Amino acid sequence: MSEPIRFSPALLESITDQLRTCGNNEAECVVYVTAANETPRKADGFIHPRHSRSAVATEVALDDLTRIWTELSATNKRIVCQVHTHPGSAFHSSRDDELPVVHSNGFLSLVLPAFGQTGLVGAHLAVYKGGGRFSSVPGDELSEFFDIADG
Amino acid sequence: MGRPADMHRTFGVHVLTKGRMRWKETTMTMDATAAKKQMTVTYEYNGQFFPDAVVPNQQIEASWHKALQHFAISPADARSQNLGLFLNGNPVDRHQSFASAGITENATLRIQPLVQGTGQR
Repeated sequence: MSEPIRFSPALLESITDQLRTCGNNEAECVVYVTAANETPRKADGFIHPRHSRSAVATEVALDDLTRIWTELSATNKRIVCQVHTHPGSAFHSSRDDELPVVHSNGFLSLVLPAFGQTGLVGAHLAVYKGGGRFSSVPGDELSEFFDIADG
Repeated sequence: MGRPADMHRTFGVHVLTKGRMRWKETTMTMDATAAKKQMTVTYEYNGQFFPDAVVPNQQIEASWHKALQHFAISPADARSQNLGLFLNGNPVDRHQSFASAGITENATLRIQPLVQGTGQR
C-alpha cells in the first residue's frame, strides 16, 4: 500500500470552507484536491469546478473538465482526491461510483455529510477499484490514507 | 458510399450533414512507406504523460490499452462510456488506425472523463 496523502490543516479548512460556502447548507458541492506530479502524496491545493447545483447532486460538464485537464498539464499537477458533500449522511452512491473525475485504481473519494457543516466528522472515504466500483474505508483506517499535518 | 475497406490507403471522416452521419472520403492517400513511419503519440491524462511509439497504420485500440495500463486504469474502464480520447479538442474514434483518424505524425492525445457527477440523481 502507498503512503498516505498529507493535507495541511489549513488546506483542509480551505476545502471545507469552499464546500460550505458553495453549498450554503442547501446544495451539494464538489472539489478536486491536487498535488504536484513530483510529490503526489502531498496535497497542495484544490480546484473548484463549475458544477450544476442541487440538494442531491452535482455535475461537471465536458468543457470544464477540459479546462481543468489543461490547467493540470500546464502546472504539472494531478488530481489525487475528490471531495463532495451530501445533504444527510455520507456514503458513496451509485452515481458517485459511476462518474469519478479520475479512473485510476486507488483514486480517493471523500464524502462529507450535512453539506460539509460538520467537517470530517461522519465523513466517508472510498477507494477506486476500477470498473465503476469503489471500496469503502472503515473509519479507523482513515489514517492509512490521509495524514493531516503541516509540512 | 460505404466505409472503405483499405483503411491504410484511403482517409475518411464521419461528417454530420443535415442531421445524418455519413462517411466522406478524401483524395489523400498514403504509400506503404509512410504508413509504417515511426511516430510518437503522447497520451495525456490527469496532468501526466505517456509516450508510445507507433506507426500510422497501427490500430489505436492496442496503444490506448497500453496508455490506460500506464495510468492504472482497469480494462473494465477502457470500455467505459465515460472515458473519451481527444485530439486538439476533437473526439477520436479509437476503433480505427491512427492514419484513418488523420494522425500521421507525432501527436498528443488526451484521455479525459466526459462528465463527472455525484449524488443520488
